[in-house]
Amino acid sequence: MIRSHTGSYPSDTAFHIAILIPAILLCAFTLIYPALLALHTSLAGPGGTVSLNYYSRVVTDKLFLASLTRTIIFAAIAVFLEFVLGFAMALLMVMPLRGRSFFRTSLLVPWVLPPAVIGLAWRWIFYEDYGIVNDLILRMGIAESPIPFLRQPHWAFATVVFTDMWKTAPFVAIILLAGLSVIPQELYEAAAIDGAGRVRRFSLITLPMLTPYILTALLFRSVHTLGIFDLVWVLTGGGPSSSTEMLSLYITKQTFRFLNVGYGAALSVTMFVITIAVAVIFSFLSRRRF
Amino acid sequence: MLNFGKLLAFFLSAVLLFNDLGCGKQKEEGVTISFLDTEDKNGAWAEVIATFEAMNPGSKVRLIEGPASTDTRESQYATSLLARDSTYDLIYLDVVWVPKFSANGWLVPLDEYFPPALQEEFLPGDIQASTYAGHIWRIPIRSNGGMLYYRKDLLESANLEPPRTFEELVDISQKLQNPPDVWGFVFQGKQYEGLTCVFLEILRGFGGDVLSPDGRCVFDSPESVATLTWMRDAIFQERIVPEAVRTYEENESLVSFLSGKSIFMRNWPYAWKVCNEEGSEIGGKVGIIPMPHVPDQSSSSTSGGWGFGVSQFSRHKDEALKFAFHAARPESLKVFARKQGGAPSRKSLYKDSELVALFPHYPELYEVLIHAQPRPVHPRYAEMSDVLQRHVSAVLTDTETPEGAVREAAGEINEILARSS
Repeated sequence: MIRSHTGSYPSDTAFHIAILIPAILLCAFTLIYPALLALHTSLAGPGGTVSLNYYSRVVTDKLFLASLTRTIIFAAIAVFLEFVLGFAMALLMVMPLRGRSFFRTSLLVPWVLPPAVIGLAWRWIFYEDYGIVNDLILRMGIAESPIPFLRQPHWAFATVVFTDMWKTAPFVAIILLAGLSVIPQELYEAAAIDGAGRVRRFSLITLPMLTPYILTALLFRSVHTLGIFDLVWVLTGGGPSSSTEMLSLYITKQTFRFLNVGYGAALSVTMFVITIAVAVIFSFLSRRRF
Repeated sequence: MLNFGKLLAFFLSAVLLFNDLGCGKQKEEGVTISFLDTEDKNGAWAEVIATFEAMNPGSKVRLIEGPASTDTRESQYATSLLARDSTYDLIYLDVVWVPKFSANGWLVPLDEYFPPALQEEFLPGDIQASTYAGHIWRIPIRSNGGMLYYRKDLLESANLEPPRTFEELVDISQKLQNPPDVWGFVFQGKQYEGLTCVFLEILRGFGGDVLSPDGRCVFDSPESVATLTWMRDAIFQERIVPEAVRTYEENESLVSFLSGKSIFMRNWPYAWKVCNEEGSEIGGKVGIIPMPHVPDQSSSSTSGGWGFGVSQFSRHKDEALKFAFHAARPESLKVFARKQGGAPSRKSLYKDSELVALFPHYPELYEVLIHAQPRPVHPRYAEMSDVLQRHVSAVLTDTETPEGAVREAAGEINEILARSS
């Protein structure tokens, strides 16, 4: 670190705090204040008292529990698939193949596109009557009648998983690629000399060296997937028959459609706690190992 | 490795990105009245706004063209009004929003400007649905109500009278249908608001209801069970309704009816124009009648429709009200009827020679709409409808018995009532 010797500059710590102030203020307004307001709203009882009424309703709300289960199942499946696909992509990208840089760049396109745009595009692609997927399926004779991708509950759920995977597998791939590129080649060479095959080299070198990156990718993806809103909102709107109504969509419905603002706030705080818990678990896992 | 600062920065940049996407507000001179509706496809709003601006120099009206989805537009209004924001001077209200929006103090009561004598000129169902807690909150513009469309040509050639009762509907369907090519009856059976509307019509035709006039839940009744049993049996026993009806909204039912794949269809007034448009296979072969009922009860039509409420947060309430009444003039309503094909909210227009020449079914339509009944008028209606949708849908997919569905739904509606008292 380069330091001034004139002594007219403030100390490092003070300087660091000074440059952080605008960001902290911004956070205070856009994150901390709304979060505290939500907490306050969620604790409002009759006549200005503090009450846990909304929270006791959260615990007994069958629709909330169904939505929570659905969201967790969705997150588990989606993150798993994204991870597998993203890992495969990363392994492919690290290989010295022709057109690698083109491949790397084009892979990022789904990740940088806004989720609403992606939701809309895939809704058209999966549309039952004039969507291109059904058109291909019918022409190739795979199915007799169009597949109800967005109309039938199980299909709709699968479609949401697929679209989320399509969008975010590249994100996992980029993080893992960063990890793969810092593993020293010497390790592989040494292991090869010692007679380790491809599988053993992968399990003894690649995987352990990659673990922190894997945990980072999984953390980001889990937190984000638990809170998924925009993509689902545009793709299915939570339907049909609530089959894709994730937690954030349920909260939106309670707050803005039913106008249960206090209850919606209690649901948001609950969701916040769940998400933080997931983040803490990953954080704990990564600390324990390293 | 994992650090919350980074996480925070990540979210913060996401927030900033989205804030940047919001467009800046335009500044305009003079008084500008704004409201939100779906895209003005056929230019009806443009014409009505142009005549208003010509008659009131200095006043401008801005239609903010929003998404086609009613739910999304409702959320847009609700978000703005929750924040006590003055973006929308007028609120173009779906009938079912009235109790909720007024109970939240977002609407101006209009009793002073919209006295009973004037209310008399509008269809009673629209006025009923615009009234909550003893005040009137909405000026009806577009009326709406469910009815039974039928294939006149098929019934006439078989020498059959249009059905008045549910039993007759089943009989005629079974005589004339030929599934899976031609089905007897289609309606809106998907789990969404449309299902509640259809269900209420059948329920009331059976003599049942959800709330009593004094606001108690009366859903746990033999009539409710009979209604659900009839709907389930129409699919699985009598087989006059295709199973696919469970995925139908208005358009899917209309497509089935238009292509000659069904004999009877429950739908809203707009379908008449589509059925008789140029190129329609069934042009001139369609009749409308009120929904069926059981012999000792009468037909019911669920009222829908749109109208103006004035926002409590508007800075130009007087101008806003002026435009709302302008849009409700007979001349303006005729523009909407001609260009949009919707049903006008004023009774006199159903005898208007110009409109009747265009829409010869107006006398029959009047008979339907004059008996239209609102959905339960309650600030928590959206939640009740959600309950009904889930349980009716479960019966239609045969995953719940009619008895069980009625018991569960009544219990949940009672919980909602208990919470809101």
